[in-house]
Amino acid sequence: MNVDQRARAGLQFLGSLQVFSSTELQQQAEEDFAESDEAPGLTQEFQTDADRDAWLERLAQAREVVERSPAFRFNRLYQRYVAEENWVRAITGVERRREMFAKVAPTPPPKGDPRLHLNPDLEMPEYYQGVEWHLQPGGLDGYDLSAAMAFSGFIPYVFARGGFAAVAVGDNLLQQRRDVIQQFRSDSLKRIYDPGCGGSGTLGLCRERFPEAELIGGDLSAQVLINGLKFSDKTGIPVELWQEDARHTAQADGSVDGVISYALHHELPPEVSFDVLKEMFRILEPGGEMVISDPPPFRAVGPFQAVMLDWETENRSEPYFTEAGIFNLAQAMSEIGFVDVEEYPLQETCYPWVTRGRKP
Amino acid sequence: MTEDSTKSSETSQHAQRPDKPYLSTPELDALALSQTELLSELWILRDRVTVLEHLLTEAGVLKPDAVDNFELPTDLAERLDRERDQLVARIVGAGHRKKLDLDTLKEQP
Repeated sequence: MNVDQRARAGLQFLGSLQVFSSTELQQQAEEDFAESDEAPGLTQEFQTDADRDAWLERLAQAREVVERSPAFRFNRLYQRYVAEENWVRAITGVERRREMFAKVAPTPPPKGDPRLHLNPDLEMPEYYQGVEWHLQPGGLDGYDLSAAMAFSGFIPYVFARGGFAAVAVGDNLLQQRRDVIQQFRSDSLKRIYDPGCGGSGTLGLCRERFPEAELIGGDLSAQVLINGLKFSDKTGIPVELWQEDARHTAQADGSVDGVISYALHHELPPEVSFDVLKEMFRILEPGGEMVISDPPPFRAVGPFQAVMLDWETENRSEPYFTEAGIFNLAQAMSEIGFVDVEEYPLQETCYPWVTRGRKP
Repeated sequence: MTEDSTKSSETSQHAQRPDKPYLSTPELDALALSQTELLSELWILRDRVTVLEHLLTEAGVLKPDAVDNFELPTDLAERLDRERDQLVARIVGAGHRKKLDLDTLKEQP
């Protein structure tokens, strides 16, 4: 089911603009930075970890230098433009064909369906309330045709081309998820939980490597879970989805042997991130594994890339991106009791950045 | 959208643009964004014309290159001249307009 020509071409234009911005302009901006007097000192400084205040100071210094580049300023203007227009083009395109898309829009299953546990009484955490993630008008639960908006709208025409946040132009988003799932050490997981499962896409891919595993997902958003169940129906991959706070899940102690967390932790304040790790430790059985994929921490990248990642916080409605870049997930996992903790990138661009550990 | 699932959007607020301009001034940002929006509209139109030509060719209505080789008849050439002149005067002249009165407006297409 497609959007009309106007929406398609408009979205494709955004994809092209994003590619241009993230290749030619970004490369020019990076060269401008490299030629600055401050670049060698800043690059050296970024190679060691530091406390939060020191990171904020370093980022401010690097930003001041990076922003001198006209190419960088235009690059950021276009990034913001595309980030906003994604929604404008996709939503107006879906609205022009509302009747058609509404007929196939995911709807909640009858109450009591064991595959979806919606919780109308769930109190949304303070850090989550009122946030229009990624500039999405109305937030994750604000638009009833969000599945069409995403899958017939910006995903195929804009996101699939890459060139935003930590995702490089030409990155294969689907393959990246598969590569992350390959980071489980075990080849025979039986019960996998995803604490921020969204539309259950990552869980669906887990099925490829672990065909026998039970797949369970949690998320705060009812709408994305409803979309996730529809995805499950469409693909024939059974899932069990819970509307819940990942710090307090419905899963019993030691009831799963794998936890996959994909692009969740940068959406959490550090203290929440820590509590989610603790909760995952609780629900994992001894020997169970957790694999996390998120954008890289600042200590893993140079000053130019760090400035671009930090930019997301103020400009793409990613309120915790900077704090997540400072937070040390690997260290937190070790403090909680995970063992064999490792962190490493899967690509030269440092994304996806994987952190993994095992419950002893 | 069910009543239950709207719970989290009740307190939703619009994501504001940062106060600091991306280029050197807010006015320059506005001009650059406006120009980008025009480029977007231009592309949508070009895409549409290309699709139309393709469909018409497939249907046997147009021969390949028919549009490129088309020789304008006088009446259509005059119409395009007129409309192009008006477009240029409106767009290029927008910043140079000295008066805004009823008589001037009545003369506009």
